[in-house]
Amino acid sequence: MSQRQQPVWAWLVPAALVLATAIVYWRSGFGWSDVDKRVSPLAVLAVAMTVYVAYYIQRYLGDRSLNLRVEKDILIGRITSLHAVLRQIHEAAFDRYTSPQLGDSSRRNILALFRRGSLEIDDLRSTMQESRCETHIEIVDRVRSEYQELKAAATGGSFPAAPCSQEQLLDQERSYRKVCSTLNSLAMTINRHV
Amino acid sequence: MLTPDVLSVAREFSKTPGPRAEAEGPHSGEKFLRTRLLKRFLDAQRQGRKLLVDLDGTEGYATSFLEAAFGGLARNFPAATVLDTLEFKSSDEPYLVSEIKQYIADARKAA
Repeated sequence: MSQRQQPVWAWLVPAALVLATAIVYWRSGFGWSDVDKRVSPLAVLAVAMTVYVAYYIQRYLGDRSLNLRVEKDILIGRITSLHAVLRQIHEAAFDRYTSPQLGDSSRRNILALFRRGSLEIDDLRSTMQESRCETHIEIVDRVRSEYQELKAAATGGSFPAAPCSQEQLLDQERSYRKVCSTLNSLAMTINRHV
Repeated sequence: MLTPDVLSVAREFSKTPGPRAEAEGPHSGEKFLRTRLLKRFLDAQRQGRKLLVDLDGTEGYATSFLEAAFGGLARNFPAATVLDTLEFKSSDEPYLVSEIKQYIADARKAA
């Protein structure tokens, strides 16, 4: 990830504060201000710095946590979208076990859904690489590998011939549960990321 | 260096790759292996060239098709030779490349 640049206000605000303090203190000698010359310039500077630190914490850390939340929401949105595709795959692939013959449109639909799911995983991975949650990328790789297992279970063997054996159905069901569970765990891990 | 020979599945075989076995339906993986892939693979080997298999432009691939075609090739030739001769292009679904390489690697174990 690229190094983040310090925003302009991070040096502009303290510079303005120091300048304003100096002007007020200097002008007080001409009766322009009520600042008492007996107040130490260091005390005035300390107040100015306290104001700046409070401002910096509120602005910089506030922005930082807001940006992280937005990144998490984008990633969780992608996970939700992948979940929806998985559900569609699960329902479409189930036809293979209930129909005596898998039609051409069903076969095309299943393959198109698997392609969509595969591209969703690629998108999730590349978005994650750009985010501050990139440390959890190995979970996306696990999702990818389990997704391949699901694809092999659903479109392997004698696909698209139908119906299939009970064992193949169980294998597909297991793969589906596994990838969904890893995906849920990824969503929770991202949400907890600090 | 010699330019690779290109075998496009969509243009030279079918836009709708089918099942594993020829008996299971049209455009099967076995048929692709028998009528296209095997011949082009042997030609490429004879000429000392690479064979670039272009996977783009189809409606998608079932695991059964890919395993029958590429796993089937690796059951007839050493996996290292197959991987050394074949190159893949898959912009539509980039992860297919590693999926196929896995089937090639696993084919010898299954044989």
